[in-house]
Formats: sequence, structure tokens, C-alpha cells
Amino acid sequence: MIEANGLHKRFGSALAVDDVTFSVHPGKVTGFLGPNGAGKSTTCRLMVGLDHGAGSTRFDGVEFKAIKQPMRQVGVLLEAKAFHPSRTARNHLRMLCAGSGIDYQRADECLSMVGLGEVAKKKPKGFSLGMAQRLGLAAAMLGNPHTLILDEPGNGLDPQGIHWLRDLLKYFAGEGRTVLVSSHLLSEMELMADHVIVIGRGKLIADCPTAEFIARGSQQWVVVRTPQVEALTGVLAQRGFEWSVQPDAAIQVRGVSAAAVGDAAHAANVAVHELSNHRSSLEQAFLELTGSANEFAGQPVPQPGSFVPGSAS
Amino acid sequence: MKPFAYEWARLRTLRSTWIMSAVSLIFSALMGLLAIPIINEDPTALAWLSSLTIAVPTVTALCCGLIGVFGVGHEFRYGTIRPTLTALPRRLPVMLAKVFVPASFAFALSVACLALNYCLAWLFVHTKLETPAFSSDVARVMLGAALFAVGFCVIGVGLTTVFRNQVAGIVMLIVLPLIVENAISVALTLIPWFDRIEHWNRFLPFFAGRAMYRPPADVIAQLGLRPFGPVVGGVVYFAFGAIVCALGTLRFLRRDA
Repeated sequence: MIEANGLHKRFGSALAVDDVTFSVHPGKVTGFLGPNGAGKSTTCRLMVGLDHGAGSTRFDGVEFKAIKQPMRQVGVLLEAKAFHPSRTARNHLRMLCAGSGIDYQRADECLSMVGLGEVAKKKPKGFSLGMAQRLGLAAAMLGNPHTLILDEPGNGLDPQGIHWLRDLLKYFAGEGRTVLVSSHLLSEMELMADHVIVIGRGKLIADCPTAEFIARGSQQWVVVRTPQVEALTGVLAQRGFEWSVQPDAAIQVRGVSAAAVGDAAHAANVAVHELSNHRSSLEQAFLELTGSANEFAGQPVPQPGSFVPGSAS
Repeated sequence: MKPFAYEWARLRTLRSTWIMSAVSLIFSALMGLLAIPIINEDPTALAWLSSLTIAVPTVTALCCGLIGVFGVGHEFRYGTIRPTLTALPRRLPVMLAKVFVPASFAFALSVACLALNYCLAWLFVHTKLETPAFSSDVARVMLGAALFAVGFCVIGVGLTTVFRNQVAGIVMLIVLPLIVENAISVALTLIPWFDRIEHWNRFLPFFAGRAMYRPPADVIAQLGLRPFGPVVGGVVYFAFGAIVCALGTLRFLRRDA
């Protein structure tokens, strides 16, 4: 179990992490979400003592620096390409083994586990980002730790790699281990994470089960398609439903169930071609809840055909 | 002991360590061979001692310095300091290992280079030498030369840790002894205003360190300079290394990784 308490970090005048407190429980994959610059990586570095700041983090009740052989307790992946380009993948892991009293054979086991067995003797300077991530994951798993802290481990992985990572982390959590994984791949986190911790501008925004976060983030709605749009919208208006017609002529009805919409259409003798329940995704909930906490938001993308600054007039 | 095991694994799995070692050994062998005609012409003790202290305090020392620089420089250049400190979160033992492991390797490499140099030269000239091929003076200059290379390595580690930058470490390691010290020494010697403190040049760390391997009748003394003896010179030299390493350690302990 990870217990982070009052984590605080400032870079000059910029506040990076502002009194963040949370717990990560074993047996679950906990997603660590936040927009760019929200303070996720800084929080991870604070947790393992790489950055100096206020607050404390305990791993099963012990601070990271007090753990005798940390790699056997906590596996950490903070940066994909943190290796010397001309030291072979195997030697990179063996070096880490030497520092933790781990048998060298474990290096080969971990390389095989992450799919890099065939390039164990290759220098990682030619590795793709995905391969570098796999090497970082192998390093994190060297000590067969109870706890994993992974910062953006899915970056650069191909779809098969993402699927493999999801299964691996779920397997780890299923064994009763503690897994904290930060990611921008929200659709993937929706499938992977049982619990989410969300931060924005260094502050904790949410710390709850993923389903609760999605439900909290926005509402459910019903999509209905009909060739008699005017007739159906008239009935919906009569019944006081909140509705809107989408550009593709689908009608979106909020605040009621699909059954209620179907009953209304039936009562008005309106043909219905589609009637489906929809709920917001993790991505939509995330965007809604972190919108104001996005420090580096780009300009809105113009609609096709509209004026683009800098383009020829 | 784990940080030392880690540092040794790091050092020996790095190609540059072995390139530097090979360069040192080849240069030492060449110097051993080049000494043969010189000693044939001048078979005195001074010529023999000088022939033993060309390669190690120059090329081997520089190579050892670079090994020290790379020990810290690579960590910051390639971001490996983070995996290092997540494996070994207590920074002081990590820093101690970063000084002592390359320094021990530098000593072993220097001894190997000196042995090679000595054996090759001895093989061809020992019958012509007017003095014994091995004496207390020979032992002293050889040990001094090895320690000078060790000091270079330690200073390389310290400077790179202070600057947290590999290029800065290399530049400083070359500029300090070759340009800064020589400029100060020349200024102290030639500018009349500095007459009273002229002898201070013996406190220049690299100049002082060279006393460890300087033959007894060295030309430096003939020039009127008053260098320290081998022991005091070595103390000044290693004190400088210790100060630089202490500054580097302070930064290493206090800064974010």
C-alpha cells in the first residue's frame, strides 16, 4: 500500500505539487491522471525521493529511503530512455541487479517477460520508444516488487503492447500487489484502472473508483433516430424532456431512460430506428473535470472552411 | 557494499572504460619502447626515472580523469541517475562509490601501465644502466605517478558532480591543469607585483601533485621554483580533490535528481 501525505513541491515561483494526499491500495490498478504539467511526474519523483520537497510517502508503512533493497519492494519506471545507449539491455539490467543483490539470471527472465529476449545483447541506442518502455518495465520488475509505480508506461507501445501491458498490470493487481500507473491514454485507463487519482495544476481533483469518476464527470443520455424527427421532438417537448437534435439528425435526450423515450415514441406512433443508452467515457469525464486545470491548453481548432490565422487570404 | 557493486557493474559494462584502458596501456608500452634509445644515450638514474614517468602522469592520468568524469557525467547526460537512485536511494553511499570505485580502477590501471612501461624498458636497457633498475627512488616515483593518476580521476568525479555536466567536467579537467594553473604560475613568477607571493604557486594543486612522481634532481628545482616534497605535494593535491568532491557531494545530496 502506498500512502502519500502532504506532498508539496515548488520550482521557483511555480507550484508543481500542492499538498497532495492519497492512498493507493493493493489488489487494484490505480490510474494517475492529469493534464500536461499537472504534476504527475513530479509527484512520482517526490514519492521515491528523487525530488526534494515537503510531505512523505510510505510504502507498506516504510519510507522509500528506509527500504533496504527498494527494487525488491517498489518497481519504478519514470523515464523510458533512462539508459546508456551503448550498454547492452542485458548489462543495463545486470547493473541494476548488482545494486540490489538480485541474481543476474533475473535480468534475462525480465527481458523475456517484456518481449526483449532476442535483443538482450543489443545496445539500446537503436531501440524505439516502445522498446525503451519495455526495457524500463523490465527494470521495474527486476526485484519482483510488491508495488509498481509507472509513469506513462504505455507511451510508444503498439496496440499489442498496450494490450499486453493492460493484462500484465491487471495480473499484478490480481496477485494483491499495488499498482500506480499514470497515463494519457484515457481509453486504455478506462479498461485498466479500477481506481483513479486525478490531479490538475498540482492539486488533487479526484480520488475515487473509476466508475464513480465517470458518473461524477457527466450525465447519461439516450440517442434516438427516427425518420419523423419533428413528430418525435414534439412529443418529447410535450413530456418536458431535455432534448437536442444533432448534426447527423440523431436526437439526444438527457435525464431520462431509453424506456421512457421509447414509450413516448410509441404513444405518438413514431417509428424508431435506433434507441440506445449512452454514458460519458473516462476521457469525457476527465476533460470535463480537468478543463479548468489544464495549464497548457492549445487554441481551439477552427471548423473546416473557417479562417485559419496565418493562412493565405 | 551494494553501491560499490553497482558502480563496479556500471564501470565494467561501459565501452569507454575499456577504450581508455587500452589507450593507456598502448601508450605506456610505446613510452617503454621509446625510452630505450634515450637511456642507451644517457644511462643515468635521472634518465631512467624520467622514462618511467612519462606515460602514466600524462595519458593514463587523463584517461583515468575521463573515467571519473564519465562515472558521473553519463548519469546526468542519459538520465540514468533516476534508475540509479531508485535502486540505491541513499545518496551518500552512491557518491562514495562513485569516487572510490573509479579511483581504485584508476590505481589498478596505472600500476598495470607502469609495470608494462617498466618491464619493456628494463628488458632492453637493464644491462646498460649505471644505477640499479629498482630502488627506493624508482618505487617512489612509480607510486607517485600512480597516485597522480588516481587523483586526476577523483578530481574528474568531483568536477563533474559540481557541474552536473559531462562536457563541463571534461573541459575543467583539461583547462585547470593546462591553462589556469600555468597562467597563475607564470603570473606569480614573472609579474614583479607578485614577488612576495611567488612561492604560492606550489599550492597549485596539479603542480603540487606532480611532486609525488618528480625525480629528485628535477629541473623544476633548478629553475628556482620551490615545490613541495612528494608527501606534502600529494597532500595538497588530494586535499584539492577532496574539496571538489565534497562540493560535488553537497550538490548531489541537495539537488533534485
